[in-house]
Amino acid sequence: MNISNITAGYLGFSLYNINFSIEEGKISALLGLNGTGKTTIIKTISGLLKAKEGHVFIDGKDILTMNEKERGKILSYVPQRSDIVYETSVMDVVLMGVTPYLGLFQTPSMEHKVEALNCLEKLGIKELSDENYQNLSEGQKQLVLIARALLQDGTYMLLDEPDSSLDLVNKHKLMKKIRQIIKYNNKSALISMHNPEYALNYCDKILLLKRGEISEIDLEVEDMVSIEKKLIEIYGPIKILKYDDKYILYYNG
Amino acid sequence: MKKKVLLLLLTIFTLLSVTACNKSSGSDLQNQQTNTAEITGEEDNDNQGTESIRGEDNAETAEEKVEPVASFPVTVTDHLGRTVTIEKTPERIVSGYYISSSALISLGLEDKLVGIEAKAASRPIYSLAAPKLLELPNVGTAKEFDLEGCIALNPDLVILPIKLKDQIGTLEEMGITVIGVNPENEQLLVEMITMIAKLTGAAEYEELLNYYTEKANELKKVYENITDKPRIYLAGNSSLLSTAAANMYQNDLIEAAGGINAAGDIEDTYWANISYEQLLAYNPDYIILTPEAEYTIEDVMKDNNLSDLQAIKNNHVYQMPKDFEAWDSPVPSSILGKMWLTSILYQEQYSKDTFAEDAADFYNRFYNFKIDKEVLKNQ
Amino acid sequence: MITNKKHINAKSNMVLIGGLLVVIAAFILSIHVGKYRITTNDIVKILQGTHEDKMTINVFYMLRLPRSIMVILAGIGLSAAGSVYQTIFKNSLASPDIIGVTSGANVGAAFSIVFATGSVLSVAFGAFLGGILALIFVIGLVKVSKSDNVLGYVLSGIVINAITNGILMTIKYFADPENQLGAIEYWTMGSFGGITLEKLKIVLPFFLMGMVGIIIMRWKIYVLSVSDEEAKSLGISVNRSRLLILLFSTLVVASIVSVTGLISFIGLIPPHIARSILKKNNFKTVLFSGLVGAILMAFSDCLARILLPSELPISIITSFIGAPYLAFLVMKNKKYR
Repeated sequence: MNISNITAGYLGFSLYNINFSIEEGKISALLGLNGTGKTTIIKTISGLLKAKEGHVFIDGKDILTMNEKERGKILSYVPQRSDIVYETSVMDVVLMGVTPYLGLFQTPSMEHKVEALNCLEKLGIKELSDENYQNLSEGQKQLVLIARALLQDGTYMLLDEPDSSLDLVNKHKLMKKIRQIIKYNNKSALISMHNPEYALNYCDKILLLKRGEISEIDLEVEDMVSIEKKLIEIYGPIKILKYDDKYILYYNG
Repeated sequence: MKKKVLLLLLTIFTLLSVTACNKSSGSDLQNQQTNTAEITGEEDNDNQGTESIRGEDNAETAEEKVEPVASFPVTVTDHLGRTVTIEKTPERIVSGYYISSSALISLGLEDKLVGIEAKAASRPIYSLAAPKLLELPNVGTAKEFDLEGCIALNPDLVILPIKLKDQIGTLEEMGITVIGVNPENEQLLVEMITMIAKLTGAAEYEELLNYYTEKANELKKVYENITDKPRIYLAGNSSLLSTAAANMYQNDLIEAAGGINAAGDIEDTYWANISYEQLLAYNPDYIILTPEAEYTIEDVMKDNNLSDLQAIKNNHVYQMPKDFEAWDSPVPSSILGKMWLTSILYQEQYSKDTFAEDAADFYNRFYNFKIDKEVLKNQ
Repeated sequence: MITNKKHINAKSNMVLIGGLLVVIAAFILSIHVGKYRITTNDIVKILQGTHEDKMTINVFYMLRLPRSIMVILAGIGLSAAGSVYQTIFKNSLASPDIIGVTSGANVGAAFSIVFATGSVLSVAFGAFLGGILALIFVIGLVKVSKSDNVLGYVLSGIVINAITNGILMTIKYFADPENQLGAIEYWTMGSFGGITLEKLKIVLPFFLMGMVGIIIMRWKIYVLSVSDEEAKSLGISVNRSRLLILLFSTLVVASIVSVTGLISFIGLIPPHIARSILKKNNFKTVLFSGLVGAILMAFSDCLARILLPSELPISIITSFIGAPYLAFLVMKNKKYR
């Protein structure tokens, strides 16, 4: 996916001429300090926020000019949270994922329901399918939304700070699950997040957003020194330690 | 427009009654009907006097002579312009309007009524003249008419206000004989009474209609030489500041009684709301409250805003009696409203006591009950 | 696990079938109740074509049956539309009032009463047009102000409510207080008393058009229960879908109130009851709301027919049922505070 010359923003906040690409089959983390525009970028790529200029190309086609339905088959967007006002079963929430594939008169079929159960099973929450979504924990809710995105079956999954409302243990569990799922299902992902530590541990690439510019870090290729140097530009005096095959990051200020 | 027609009719009417002095007054009435009521079908035609005036339509009248009273079937045109035919004398009548209900009593048909309008108990005439009517099932109001309830009474004649046009249509479709009436002024009232009389074969209606003309003429004589007629402010039911406008029946009432409508400059067709200022500018000689006014003479007398009015200073504030019927509206007894107002305005020529006697006579003749004359004398 | 799932599905299907049976029972009760005496025996004979009394047959086919059908349709339509409104506005107090449809219909009816012939058909036409025009105005305002979201609709609804209120007062000023003013007030209280076969025939096509539209859009209605952004990411063209859904549900509401006048609470309460029984919010909830609405409506109308010697306006009864239920909801659930 090539993001080319994107200019977008809300009232009073804009990003100009953003260029980067998301490699197929890879998990990319979008990192940046608060207010630098991570969510703006995710929403613009997903077509939820209208880009003032620029294109997002996938296989040579600009997905920003597609209608919602076509785009929905290529991109699965996972919001930070879903405010569902009424009692709704987990099954029904997941089934929303098949919407781009339904014809005018159609509703989800029995096959769709079986697929939805499969998606829940992949995330290990099959037993929740008849629960009321509103009663789930934040972590479970996030898993349900990811199951929905899986059912939606876009080549690219765009996750907007999926870990934001979780505690430490659940953050790690969730990120591990996300990585596992994306790799297993051959998806590509862009995940915006706050904490570079999770990016180091669970992603293949880091896209660093600073002052309206994006720089890339390829975690599979670059060495620690180079990664640390790039991160310091944003986060200040930090140190990366490797322990037991995991990365630990601490602030050295 | 309606007023002009009425005026024209009254002129013709008076002319006829003066010139045709050898004829009985009943024939005058017949003449009036040919002009006013749109009665198209066979009419009871026992009066030879009418022949000279409407000799043209003889084809039908010839065979009628055999049957002196009404012969059925009868066809009339109602106030919606519908042609309605009734096959035989109706025995079960539903009246969905207080004016037609009252008319039925005055025609002596109360025993044939099987259903009347809602809220009948609020009108004193029923308990006085035909208390049995209050026990009848009601068919609702013009706003909430009870179609099924009406049909369930199995009526052979239904009389409804023209407001219920749609319901009239439905009843007609169901094969029920129904007429729409719109007694909004005296002419339409007379038409309605005639229409009902034709359909029911009630003969007495002429007497009632004659009484109207007789009395109207008597009233005219009372004030015919008065040049400076008193100016009347007729205040409506809801508030002293609502008044009868020029295009209302109440305006005709004031004029027929020998007064001038103080608010005659307002051309509305219903009660108009004015301000205190405007009332002070009118400075009427008399303030008359409607029978169903929701405020009292005392309220008006005590109102500081009005103390400079001529009518207040001269103690000329009266309320039309509320003990019988709303005489300020075109009910069959509306002639009494005119007579009462004349008795207020011209007490010397037509005293309160004489009016009380006349009113007693009216109700005795047409409604078959004796009123308490003292009620009227003491007001 | 799958069996369990089927079990749950089966449960909501059972509830729907149960609701349908009660609606049928309410309908059968409804065709028995009225001032004109029609017994079960009569009805059986009429349906077999062996009844002797022409009047009873006429009353049954021209008044009683159309009225009972209209009552059921109104219950289904108002409640299903109410459920749709509540879903797509993500607000459990949303109803046709919120985007000005009812006040538009009210102005249309008042206009016809005062300035047109005032016949029932012209009032119905005026009300229908008024409701649709209000919706078009709201949609226009939303588009012009570029506030194409739930809040935009609600604010535009407040604007149209303010405008219609002004127009309504103006019309009332010109109304004849003896007759027309009363008729306007009466219209806002609603009634099935004037329903005839003819009116049913006129209203039915619009009603069905709206209902079919709602059924076609059923999945989109459900997906619109999440935020606009989410719905969009799930492949729904939110603005166009919401507009169509609004148009269809307004068609249903306007076609009903055009002949019945305003009916309070039937668009508001049944969706709550349906959700609390089914414990979910999808198209089955819309259907079940419709059934609950039909039951409540039939019950209320039977009372309206027999409670007093003459007909009682329907909203008097629905308000006495609806307002306490609303109070109960407020006390039960702090979400509504």
